[in-house]
Amino acid sequence: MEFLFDGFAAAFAFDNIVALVIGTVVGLVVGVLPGLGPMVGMVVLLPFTFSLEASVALSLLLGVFCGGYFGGAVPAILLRTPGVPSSIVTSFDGFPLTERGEAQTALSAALVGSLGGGLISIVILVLLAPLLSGIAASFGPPEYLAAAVLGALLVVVAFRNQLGRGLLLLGIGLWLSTVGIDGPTLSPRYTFGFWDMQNGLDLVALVLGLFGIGQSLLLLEQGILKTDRLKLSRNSLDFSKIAGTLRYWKTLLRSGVIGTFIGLLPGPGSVLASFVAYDVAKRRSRKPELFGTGTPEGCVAAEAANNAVPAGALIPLLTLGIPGEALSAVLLGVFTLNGIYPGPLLLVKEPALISTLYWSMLLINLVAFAVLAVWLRPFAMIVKVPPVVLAVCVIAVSLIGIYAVNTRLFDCGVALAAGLFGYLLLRLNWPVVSLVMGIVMGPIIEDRLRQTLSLGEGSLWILFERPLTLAIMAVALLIATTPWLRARLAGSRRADRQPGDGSGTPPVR
Amino acid sequence: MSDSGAVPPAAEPPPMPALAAGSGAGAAHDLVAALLGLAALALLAASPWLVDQSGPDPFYKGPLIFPLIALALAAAGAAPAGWRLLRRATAPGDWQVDGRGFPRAAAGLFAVMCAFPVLILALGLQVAVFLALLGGLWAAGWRRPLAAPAVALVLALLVHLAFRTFLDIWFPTPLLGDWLRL
Repeated sequence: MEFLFDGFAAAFAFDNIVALVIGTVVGLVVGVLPGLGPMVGMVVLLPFTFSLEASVALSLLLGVFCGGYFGGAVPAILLRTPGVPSSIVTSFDGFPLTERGEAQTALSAALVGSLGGGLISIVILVLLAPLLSGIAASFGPPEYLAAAVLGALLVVVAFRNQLGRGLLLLGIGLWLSTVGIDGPTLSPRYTFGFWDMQNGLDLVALVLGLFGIGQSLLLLEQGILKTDRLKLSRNSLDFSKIAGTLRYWKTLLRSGVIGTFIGLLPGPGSVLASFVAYDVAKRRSRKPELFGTGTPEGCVAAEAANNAVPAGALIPLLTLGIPGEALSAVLLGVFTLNGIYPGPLLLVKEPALISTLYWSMLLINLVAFAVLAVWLRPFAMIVKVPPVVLAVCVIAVSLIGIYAVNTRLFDCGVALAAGLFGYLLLRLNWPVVSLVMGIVMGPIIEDRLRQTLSLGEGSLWILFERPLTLAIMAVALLIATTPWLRARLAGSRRADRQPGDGSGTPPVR
Repeated sequence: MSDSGAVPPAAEPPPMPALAAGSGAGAAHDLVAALLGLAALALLAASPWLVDQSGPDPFYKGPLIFPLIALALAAAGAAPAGWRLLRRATAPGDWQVDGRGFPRAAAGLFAVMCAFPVLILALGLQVAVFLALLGGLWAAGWRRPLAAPAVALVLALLVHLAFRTFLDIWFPTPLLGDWLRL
């Protein structure tokens, strides 16, 4: 654990502090604004990271990642309009409290929950990452391939009711990653004779287009804000309410742990974390009947869980190099663009960087809490900015950012095409995360596939001959099939309880 | 729902709900999936001609194997939608993505933004930002004679400060400057 102090100085360096404060403020802003979310903030800032050191760039983006979840609670509580999807659970109790004139109580609970969840998850990250890294140190190409493929497939499976679309988008994403010159063989692939295509499709342009432009175009079509209902008694948080919130420390602790471990899994993300933590808190509460009518405990549970997800998602990213969802996929992109390849050796090779990340995460949580607590009303007022102005500004800044990276019009064209495609997918409510996973994971999976096939002399049977690959596949299969098996089991139990007609025909559901 | 996706309000239905994903309602979903699947199939078939195969032998070390797997995966994902589309008699109303008709604001803004990178090249960063924002706000339906130019001016200034002053990023000399010199 000595390495924890290696990054202390770097984390508290002026440029890192500036980056994480800017990132956190941007995260809070995009989190407060319904319809944008941390992904848009991250991709808009992505082009700015190229001139920064890896640790500073990651602090900037992690600030957006964590800040977004902090900010999402504000409109959920004040307007019943969640800033990020997972904050919808916060609104179950937050908005009834606001309607009763207790908005400050709800906001205190949400902010304390967010801070507590964030801190708990960082502790788990620090403890668990070396353990997982130790296991992953014995990984060879087949194990990495199994882990990467099944990580990507689990993201697809997470959208159970859109399995076909998820698979389709994953395939497209993987294919998009192959366009351009193939590194090992130097063969041009799918360039259609265009010189510009030889460099491949820029990752930043694709991701910025899909989310920055696609999401902003969608924002134009949504008139979802009801800003006339903002009810806040003072400019800052009422700190006297915080002590009352600390009564729910058990809920906070439990929800933080739940959020971290759900964040570990590829796919489910913060929405599931919030729902599960809320449900568990309700079951364990002495007054479960108050849930949904306006209890601060509900806000604590939901916010602690969703704010624990970022650190949880960092665990497989740092130890295996496998992102669990779109936001950590962007972080993986930043790592690789800086020539750093996350995996079990990362903790050995780059202890200072990892340590800096841990300290930065800690600082981000504290900064987000402090900034939002002190400037609560100004941040809440951001929702009054017209969505049209936001959308136009986000698209313009995205395009400037893409152009600034290589000063190539071609990259802007890629971003605009990706934006149109992203808009269509978002409007159809398809799992865009599968596409991003494919784009980011494509080169990693292809490399591992080549190495595995070379080891197996052209045969993939090597995957079934190694205990670790078998174990990975078994775990993934278990995770993928457990909800389905549980649903089947619940269905058959319901069928058993219903009085039969003697014909043995299952009841119609 | 994706973490990064648009968020509907908890209490009231959004004015523009996307179709219930996975509900099977609306042939638009199946049509888009089938078209993407067809494109993947076409690329799959054309891959031997679109990928230079002068690389190493054996095949599994070459540049073609992974794209083939990716495209096959995409085609397999689209197959159920294609099958449903072939079997189902679709009512004309089902082809609407949602009930709000053609997205004029989004289309208008997108058209303006397509011209934006060319404007940067021709007129320079700051002028292009001002004009694109003005045009974008107008195309998106925000037509306030004083506020729109003010917003455009403020963003142009912020962009100049962020990209030129603070980050010191190089942008090519605008073509207009070259033309005027000629």
